[in-house]
Amino acid sequence: MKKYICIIILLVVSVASSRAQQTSEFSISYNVSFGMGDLNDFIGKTSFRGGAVEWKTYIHERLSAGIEGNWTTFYEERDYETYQVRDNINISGKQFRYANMIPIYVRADWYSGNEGDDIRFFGGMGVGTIWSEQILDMGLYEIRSDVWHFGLSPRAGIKYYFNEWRALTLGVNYDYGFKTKEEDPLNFLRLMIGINFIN
Amino acid sequence: MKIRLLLLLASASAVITLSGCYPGGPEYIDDYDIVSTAYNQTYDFGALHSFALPSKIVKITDDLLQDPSKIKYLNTTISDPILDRIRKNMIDRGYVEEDSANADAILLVAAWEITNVSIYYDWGYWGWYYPGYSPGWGWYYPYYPTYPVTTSYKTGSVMIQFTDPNTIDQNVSVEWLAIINGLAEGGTTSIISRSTKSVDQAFAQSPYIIHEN
Repeated sequence: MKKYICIIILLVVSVASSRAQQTSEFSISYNVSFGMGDLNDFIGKTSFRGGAVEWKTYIHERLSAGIEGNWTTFYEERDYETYQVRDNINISGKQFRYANMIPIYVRADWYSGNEGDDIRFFGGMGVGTIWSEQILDMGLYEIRSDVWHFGLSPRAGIKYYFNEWRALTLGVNYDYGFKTKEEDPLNFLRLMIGINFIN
Repeated sequence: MKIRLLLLLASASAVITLSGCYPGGPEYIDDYDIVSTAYNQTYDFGALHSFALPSKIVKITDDLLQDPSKIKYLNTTISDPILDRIRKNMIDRGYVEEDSANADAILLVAAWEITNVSIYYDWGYWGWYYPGYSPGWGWYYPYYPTYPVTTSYKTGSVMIQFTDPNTIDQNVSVEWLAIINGLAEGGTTSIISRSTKSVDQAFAQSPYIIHEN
């Protein structure tokens, strides 16, 4: 799977490079994320620790392609509780749970309106991989697992242009990592606010 | 060029800021304290009337591993409150204290402080106390693995074994096992407070240990 992802990334970079004379953007965003499904069962708390960097170029006035990488950390400190490990075994203590998500996507987005508009809406899809790490600390012991998922990430948002060089982006991403041999699928929702540096 | 430098600095700042936000985990010593218990589900704890408890806690050290005859005991400043709390919990559950020769159950308590050593727990440590002890005895535990093994950190552990001297057949069956584990740090008062609290927790999560009239 990693091989195909690398090929896709290379293709996008190649296409983007050939269009390098056209408008390109670099953006940094802050993300607030909500775990869903199994991830939410593991850590129920909202993550306020997340950020993304993205580079894109416009293939067409209304179509962009690029690469995004982001990092989100979920964390939850569980109160002192008793957990039943087996029918006849119980363990009590505080648990500290961590989940690190690092998705890397190639992205394509479609934009409303025209170049020069102050506000443009956009929607698109990311395809790539999500590296996921889950850590459970209890007492002096730790259970840790990490896995690469094939990932998809549809998103939608609005972009406000301060001028032709800077813009503000607000958006919603849904990240879905497909089931692997070791792990069930994972998914989470990201709200993002970012600054775009337009070149 | 300036824009690229600006972007590079912005990216580096974002990474540094994010790593600074990484959650820190446990903050206090007692955040590391855990209590695990295991028991034999076929054993009838309710049928017992009496228990015996040694006046000392065996301290397992490297010396003891080298020479099992060099038995050491935990300082009574720490061991007495722990044993008293075990005694109190047993009495609260309806059991009566007896001497080891006449008790239905014998509770054995051992402790160790460890840094990067594996522990081999030997029956011989209790030869001075256990009625009818013979060298070469083994253990039956209510679950596996049998030997407590731990590595790294300076940790302290207290192990309570609930045994039935009437079931001896070369091996002694451990019907209930409680292991209290945490950082062996902090002052004596803190260690006593955390240990006794954990003893209470061991019994709290073991409601099946109760004498039935």
